[in-house]
Amino acid sequence: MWLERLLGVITGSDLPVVVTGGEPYGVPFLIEAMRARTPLAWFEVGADARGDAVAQGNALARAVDGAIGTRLLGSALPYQAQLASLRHHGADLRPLWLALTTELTSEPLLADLLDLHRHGFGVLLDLRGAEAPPAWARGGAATLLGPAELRLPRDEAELLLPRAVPADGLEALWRAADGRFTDLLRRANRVAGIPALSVPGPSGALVDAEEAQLVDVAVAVQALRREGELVAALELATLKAPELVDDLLKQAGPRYQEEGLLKRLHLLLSALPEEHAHGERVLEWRLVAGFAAGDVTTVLPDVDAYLAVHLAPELRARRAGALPPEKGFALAEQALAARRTPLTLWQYGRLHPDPEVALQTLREAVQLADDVGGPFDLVRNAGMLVAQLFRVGDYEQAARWARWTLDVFDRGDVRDGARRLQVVNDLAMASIMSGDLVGVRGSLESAQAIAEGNLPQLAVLLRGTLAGLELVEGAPEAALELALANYHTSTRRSRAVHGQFLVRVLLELGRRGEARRVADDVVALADEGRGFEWRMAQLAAGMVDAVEGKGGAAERLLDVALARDLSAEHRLAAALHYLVAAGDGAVLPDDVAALVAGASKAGLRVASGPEETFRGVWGVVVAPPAGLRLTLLGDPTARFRGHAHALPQRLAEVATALAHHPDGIELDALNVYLVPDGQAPLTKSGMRAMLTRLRKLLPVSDAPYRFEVPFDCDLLELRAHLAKGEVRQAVALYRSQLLPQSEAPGVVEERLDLEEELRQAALGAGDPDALFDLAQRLGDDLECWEAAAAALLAGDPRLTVARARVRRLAEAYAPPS
Amino acid sequence: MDREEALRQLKATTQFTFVGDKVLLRQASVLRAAAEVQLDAARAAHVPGEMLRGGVRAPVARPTA
Repeated sequence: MWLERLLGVITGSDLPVVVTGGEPYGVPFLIEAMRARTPLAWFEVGADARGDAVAQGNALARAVDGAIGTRLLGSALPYQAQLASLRHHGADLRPLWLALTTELTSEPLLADLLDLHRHGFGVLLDLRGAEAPPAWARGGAATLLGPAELRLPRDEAELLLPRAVPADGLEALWRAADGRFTDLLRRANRVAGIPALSVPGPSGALVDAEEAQLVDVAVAVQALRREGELVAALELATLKAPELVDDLLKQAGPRYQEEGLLKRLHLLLSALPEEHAHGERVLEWRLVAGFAAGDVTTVLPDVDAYLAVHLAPELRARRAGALPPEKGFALAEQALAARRTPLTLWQYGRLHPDPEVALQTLREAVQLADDVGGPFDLVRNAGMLVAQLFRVGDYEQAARWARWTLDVFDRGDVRDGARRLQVVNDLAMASIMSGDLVGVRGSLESAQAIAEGNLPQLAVLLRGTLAGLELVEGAPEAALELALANYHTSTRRSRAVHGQFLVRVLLELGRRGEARRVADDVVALADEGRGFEWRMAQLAAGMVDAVEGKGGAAERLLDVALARDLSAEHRLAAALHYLVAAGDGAVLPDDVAALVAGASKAGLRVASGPEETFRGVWGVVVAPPAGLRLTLLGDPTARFRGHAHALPQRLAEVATALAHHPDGIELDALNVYLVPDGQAPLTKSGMRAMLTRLRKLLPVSDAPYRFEVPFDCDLLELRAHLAKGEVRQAVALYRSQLLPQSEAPGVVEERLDLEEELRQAALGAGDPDALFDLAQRLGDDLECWEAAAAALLAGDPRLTVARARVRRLAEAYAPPS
Repeated sequence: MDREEALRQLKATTQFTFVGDKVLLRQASVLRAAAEVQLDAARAAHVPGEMLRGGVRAPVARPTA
């Protein structure tokens, strides 16, 4: 009837649905009925979120995460980033409806939601204040439902009303309510003596509008606080009970920060009456929020006046962060001397010029945050420890701490999605530099889908990290695209650091002239007074000189390598280029030599290249790469004497056979390896012709056939990792099945054996990253997806994907009923 | 930001409706919590005098058979 008919219109619509008329016409009841039948994320955007993309994003994220039962989106991101994430994960989320209730009809969010419909999501906009649809919804852009369609017909009303309503009273009730669903039900309940209506809402039930209660403000603030509605509690207190603000800020301040609502907090605290604006905690949050809003003119003098007569360790530590490094450090030192808290330790460690002392302090900061701080203190301090470990080049420790920090997020303690993405990037970078690539590409690409176009600063970081991964994985063209994007969008002051990386990529590609031009540009633009910027420019120029074999580069490269205020990654680049520039017999100072000696193969590739120039230098640190390198998992290629050759399938099959027979394979055995049962074997002349084709690319002996030079092969490396129980490394190498189109019996057997051995190893190890990566590569392996879903933590966005795949595959594999 | 301007912006965008010194609430869970807050306050107003003065009575021991 009424409900079924309207639900049919909504769910059957090929367009997004725009509903006007709101609560009187029963729209909340319609949405609630949909929510009972289909996955639906219902959220509300009120006046307090007008023009605030982050507040709107938070509401959307809470609703989506609630509807799908896992935490995919998190908080503190603009709604555009949340929508990008929904589009990215669309296939694993649909069918999913998004229902927005709002009075704000001119917010850009509405048009963006309508657009989401094109990506397969159901979209319903409940414009509750409007009687008629706005112009943007007309003209065929949406299915429109208004009062005319929502009005309850007399005959349907009869079926809906409580039996206790006398039949002869129905007509009068219906006329009085004018067919408005909620009005009619309210009147009927009253007549029937039934308790007042409960009206569904996105964040829980509402009492009927006529039953709304006037509550004492202090009581309401307490009630909101008990319900965990700290954002609303603080707003209410600011407006009507400012004496409660100081105490509320203990919990509400971190919540505003975690939710990315510091600009709103700035507005609130700016509105406080003078007599409530100068308490220690209020000043602390005024300072934090003022910085986020870019408006500290009022608060800085107030804070300085307070600090002139009070120790106020935490406020002092916050103030330290707003000063130039030397002055800031002095203040941070005073703050720490006054009291050791998670915050004072963090700031002292962050600003300490000695990297070792900084590390030690930050470890203590994490420990103390774990003991006495809140979850936000913990992730802030651990995030800084990760950054410091990265800076000094302890990449394995940095990755370990970053993984642990993500666990803190994903156990559900912290909702700050923007900060989480930063940790995802740091983990990826540390993993790349330490050569542990499992899960890195997937997490980076998911993060990039959210950040690109929505979170500019984070997008720059992610592009840089992804470019590093492309270099390690031998895709310098892809790295170039990312490096160029960062270089061309950089500010003048960040030009040097992006220019240095662009130079690195251009040198890899052999485009030395362009590398020289970029290096000249960054040197010309760098400010000599700014140490970091100047050194990065010197590094860029020195790198080009070193690769071109020009004299004079060694000295300035050594200066950069010795600069302890630079990150280890840049010092490593300087040291490796110095070794090339200085030539045979060059000696590195001890701490720089330690950086080089500790570098992984992947780290060397991020910092230096091309291989032809650096082979000798790398060989001092790691086993020199073999002259011939075969890639058989993924697009089959062979790299020999600096040239990469794509291998056609037949030649790749022969190369696989030779890789498996390093001592040589006879013609007959090769025939058995290559030709399926029942097919005519290759003739001797056919076989020889094929080997001749291969010999044009690679050094292959006469019978018994084998490679004539030492070779590396990803397939054999993967097997070696499996033999040592190194599952993460093995999965990272498994970019695809072995020559998936090949029907050569030797290849098919190896392909199946390898896949099964890898599966069993991953299932046995239970490592979430390895399981998730392998499940993605295998695609439809239910057991792997189930194991990945069991291993991932509750707040890990990958859990949404894993559970969706399990559901879909279980349905597909279920016997027909 | 100037306080007057901040207050103006805040009032223009707040989700709350005020009537005099009171705030109008509809969310059922918050109203329930408000009722509990009031109940707790009423209980606190009727606690024995020695508790309010800081002395707390020892719990009454369970009688033994």
